[in-house]
Amino acid sequence: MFKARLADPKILKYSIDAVSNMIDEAGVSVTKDGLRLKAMDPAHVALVDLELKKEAFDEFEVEEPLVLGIDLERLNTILKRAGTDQILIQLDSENNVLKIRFKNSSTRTFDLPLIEVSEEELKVPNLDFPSQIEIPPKILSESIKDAEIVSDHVTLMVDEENLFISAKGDLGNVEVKVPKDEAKSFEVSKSCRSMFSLEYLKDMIKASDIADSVKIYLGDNIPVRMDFTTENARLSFLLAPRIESE
Amino acid sequence: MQIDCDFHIHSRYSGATSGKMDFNTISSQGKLKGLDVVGTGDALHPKWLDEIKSLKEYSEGIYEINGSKFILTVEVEDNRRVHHLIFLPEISSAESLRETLKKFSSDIDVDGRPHLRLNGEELVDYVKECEGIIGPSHAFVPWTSIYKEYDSLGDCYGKNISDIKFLELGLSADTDMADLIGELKRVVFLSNSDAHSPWPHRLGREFNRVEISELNYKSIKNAILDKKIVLNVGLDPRLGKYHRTACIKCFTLYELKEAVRLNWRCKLCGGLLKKGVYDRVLELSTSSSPRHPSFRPRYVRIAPLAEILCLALKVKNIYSDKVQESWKKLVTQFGSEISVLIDVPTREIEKVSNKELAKLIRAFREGKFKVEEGGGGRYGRVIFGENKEQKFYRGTQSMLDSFVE
Repeated sequence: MFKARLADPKILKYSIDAVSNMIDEAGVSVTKDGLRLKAMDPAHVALVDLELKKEAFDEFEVEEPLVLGIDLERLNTILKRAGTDQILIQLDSENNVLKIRFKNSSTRTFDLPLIEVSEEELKVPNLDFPSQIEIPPKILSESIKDAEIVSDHVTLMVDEENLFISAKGDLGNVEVKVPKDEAKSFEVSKSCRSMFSLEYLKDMIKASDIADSVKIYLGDNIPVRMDFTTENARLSFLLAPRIESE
Repeated sequence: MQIDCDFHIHSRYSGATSGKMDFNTISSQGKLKGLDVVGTGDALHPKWLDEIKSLKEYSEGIYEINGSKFILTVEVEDNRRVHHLIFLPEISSAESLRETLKKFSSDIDVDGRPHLRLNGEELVDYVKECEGIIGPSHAFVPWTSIYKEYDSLGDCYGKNISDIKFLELGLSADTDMADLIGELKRVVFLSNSDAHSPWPHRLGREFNRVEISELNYKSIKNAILDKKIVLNVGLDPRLGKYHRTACIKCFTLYELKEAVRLNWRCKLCGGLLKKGVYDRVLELSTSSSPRHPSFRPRYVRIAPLAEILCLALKVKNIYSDKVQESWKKLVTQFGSEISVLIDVPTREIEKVSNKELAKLIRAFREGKFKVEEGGGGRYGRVIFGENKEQKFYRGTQSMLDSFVE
């Protein structure tokens, strides 16, 4: 048995929207503590780790831990229809579907068939990040949008004083400088830089709308980790770098 | 007598499996599929073993619930991430093997498919002690198979090579591919589903038709040892997501030589090229065309009925009402999915369904259909028209796997 209710669908909608372009399907673990989705995209470039604590829900009941195989693209399509309605989620084990109900002046019910999910074990890199910078998500999302004007990739660089988000392309260059003082926290043990695909970052910054802050873990030519956090939710991404051409 | 068997499935106690992998559901769905015997899977898992014990003993080594029969099987992973399929004669053998292997595993109590700190050769010794039989599971897949790790059965099983009597083909290979490899001419090929959910498009999506004298463990074991598998049925390996060498990003297909020349980087997108099962088999091959030994049965390449119905009815979702209604009608009329797919004359199918479905089932049975090959992590697909243009990505992208120690 599993059921949950969300009076404000924003957090679930935006989280799934950020994840579903990268990950087609995933096993969502449901425990008494909440929901957890950890999955890698098919190209093994990005890892997503979404945690929605039970406190993020207005009601949350589960009898025993279970894993739901979800087609995220379909879930996202359904959630886009939610508007500002209250969302009720209920597992129908007999029919192997997740019932998603939007409640307002009318009640709309969608059946999302559960699917078999991959058996492949996640091999997650264990990384030491020399830099950790926490900034308001808006700065990151605006910088990504700026970079998109000129290129399909972006370089994240940090020194003792600033975080730089820059892009170079045939149409010109752009650089966004974020001084140390503007950051919520700024721990840099050495200067470092890595380049990343905007295709992935564009999806990741969709989480900006729900988060109070984003913490960026950066190193030299290693994956970047970005944690979008709010009181009762955390959406964490690990993104492999692009290899710069010789 | 001939029976249809799927020997390799997983219970709900293995990772990434459906919560509905319980005996009641497997039994009811297995009947609809038309399976006479299903492997229990996960026979070393304590909770699943308890559930097996609650089944009625039908005959020596065969257990029954609601008329469905089960034989004790389990898949294990060795210390080189190679998967092996094991058949066991009775519950006490499973208990005894579990006790023995416990000291080599940290997850035998939690994972239906335990990881063992043993190599293939050592594992055979322990299975023989319990009078079980063992062989490689899904032998060609690029992640967890014998041929991703070794170049021969002997490299894996050492002095115990002669005890390996069967090899499971897996979804990415069939008889024509495997019989390019000389050393496999003496072994029986099994085609099992490795199902993680009980629904008939998964359970029995690959199965074996086996000739036995009576329905018990010994008779099934002897059928394997005496090469009495009379039919292998499975998916077309070209549909497998790692069938051809391809770019993991843009899925462009590559010839092996070209991939080596380009240092395993896509010339269109710079993405990593993943070696396909097809090319791995060619590397291991000892002949340029399949050389089937006389005992090798026919391999029928078929898709699950619900997927064929999707093609016939031109709908995408196998769970759609249209597909489910047609599926139920056919299975009710002809007794099981296997009957519809393999045995019932297509003119009979046409009477209760439609011309298009009958045409497609005939095309599958006769191998007359085209396939857009899979590779690089993308499944292939059956096509009855023009190829769809492939999607291309730009840029040279590393993978997270490169950063795993």
